Amino acid sequence: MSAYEEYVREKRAVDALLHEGYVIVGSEEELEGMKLKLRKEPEPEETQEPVYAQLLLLTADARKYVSNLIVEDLWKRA
Amino acid sequence: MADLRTKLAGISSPNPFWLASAPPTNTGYQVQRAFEAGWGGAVWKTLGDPIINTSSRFAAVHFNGQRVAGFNNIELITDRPLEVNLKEIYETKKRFPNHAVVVSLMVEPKREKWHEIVKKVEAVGVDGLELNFGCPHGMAERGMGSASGQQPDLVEMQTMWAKEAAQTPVIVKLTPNITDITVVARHAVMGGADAISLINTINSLAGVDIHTWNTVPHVGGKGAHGGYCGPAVKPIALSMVAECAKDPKVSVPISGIGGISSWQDTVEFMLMGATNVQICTAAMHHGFRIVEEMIDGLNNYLDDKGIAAASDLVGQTVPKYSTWGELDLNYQVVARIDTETCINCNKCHIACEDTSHQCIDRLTDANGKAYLKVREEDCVGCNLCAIVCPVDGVIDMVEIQSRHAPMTWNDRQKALARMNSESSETEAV
Ligand SMILES: Cc1cc2nc3c(=O)[nH]c(=O)nc-3n(C[C@H](O)[C@H](O)[C@H](O)COP(=O)(O)O)c2cc1C
Ligand code: SF4
Ligand code: SF4
Repeated sequence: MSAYEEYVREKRAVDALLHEGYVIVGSEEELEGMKLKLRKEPEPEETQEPVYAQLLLLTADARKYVSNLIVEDLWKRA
Repeated sequence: MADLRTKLAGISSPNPFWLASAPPTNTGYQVQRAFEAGWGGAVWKTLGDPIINTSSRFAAVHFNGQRVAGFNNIELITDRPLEVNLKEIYETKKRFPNHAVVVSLMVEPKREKWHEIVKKVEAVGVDGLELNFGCPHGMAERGMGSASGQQPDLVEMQTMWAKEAAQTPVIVKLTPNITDITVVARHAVMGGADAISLINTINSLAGVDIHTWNTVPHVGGKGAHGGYCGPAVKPIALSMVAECAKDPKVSVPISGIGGISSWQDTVEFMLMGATNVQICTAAMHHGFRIVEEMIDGLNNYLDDKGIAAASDLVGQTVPKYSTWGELDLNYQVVARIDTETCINCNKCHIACEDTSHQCIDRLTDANGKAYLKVREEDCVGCNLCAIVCPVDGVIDMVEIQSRHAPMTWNDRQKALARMNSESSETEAV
């Protein structure tokens, strides 16, 4: 698989979770790559706890992509 | 005609081209001929405690047919009597009152020694002094040159001693044989330096003769490390000049030295913060007359750009010279090959395939003709293919507009840290 295709696969996984309503709430960088933690709040009428998801991003471009999302989110809130 | 005059810590010169302290500035005869040829200034071959030189002193590194890519020497400071040098310095300055005559000095790290030589040299009428804390061989074994130049406190103290006696500006010449040149530069400034000059030569051994097993050069079968200079050292010198130029604690003018062979090199050093330049190897390789082309070239360049004075160039690129952490990670270039002018030598394909990111495809067009195409989505923009391509302009590095605003590594680290500290979930990751 080309480096670009690997990146696209990881980006799609991130986008899919964001599309489902998850937001990125944490990250940790280790030798294997960037561990990303995402959280989805329950619907207002629901009573359950928030749901969490985790992704391990290996490619530099995917790590750059989520970094951009995190930086942009911070600017939006600033 | 642009104004080429420069002023380094008060030392005026008709142009920024000075000969560095070295064989070209050994005698009055040479310096005067250099001034006649057009050089704006000269730093006299270092005066100091008497020395004796070896025979067989220089060696050069030739690279792929290019002679003198680098130059190596084991020569020490002047071996001529002080009185003879002083007489010639006096005569030279008298004949050329508008040229910069600076004298390089090196004595033992003793206060009275510095006072003595400074007074003797200034008495003949010089425009400034340059303290040689850079020579890496011979003198260093006696505690002078780079041996004292590698100790920031010794640089500071000796500069102070020279300044105590000096009436003219004191330039401190730095050794590159050190981890962080700005540390020594700061100490020179703390000692009162009016300017700094850099670089002196880099520790080197030009080679080993694989047939005789002697070093190159050798003195009767024995060798010792020397000092490297010439075109090969230019990038090292340029980065050291830039480091000093952007350090607010090194707040004195800079005389740029190291591998300068053309007006273009000179412009680069000036843009990177040098007020003027000093040249040795290029003059030794091609003679004094190279300065004519340098003057013309600089003049035409300034006229073409509509810049009135050479001094307007000084430091213009310094704000663009940052740290890695401040570079935009979203900036992206990709290689594009012009198939019309490509000669199909395949060098770029091999380079990318073997040592970069395997993204130059060998394809065949409808007429069965082979051509190369970059898979742009996989290209990381490393420039390697453009570097190895033997035909200028065939490979273009093209900027791809990013969908994101600029983001540096430092921005990213801050944002990640902020998100993680804000998120109570972090421990759970
Ligand atoms: C043969 C030779 C002798 C040199 N002698 C001296 C010297 O006496 N004092 C000094 O400060 N620098 C000396 N240098 C260093 C030069 O002044 C200059 O710093 C160095 O060569 C880098 O410039 P370049 O690349 O233009 O040659 C010498 C260099 C060479 C090649
Ligand atoms: S710039 Fe680097 S990665 Fe891109 S095609 Fe050239 S060699 Fe390959
Ligand atoms: S190195 Fe340059 S000339 Fe050679 S094949 Fe590649 S693009 Fe063409």
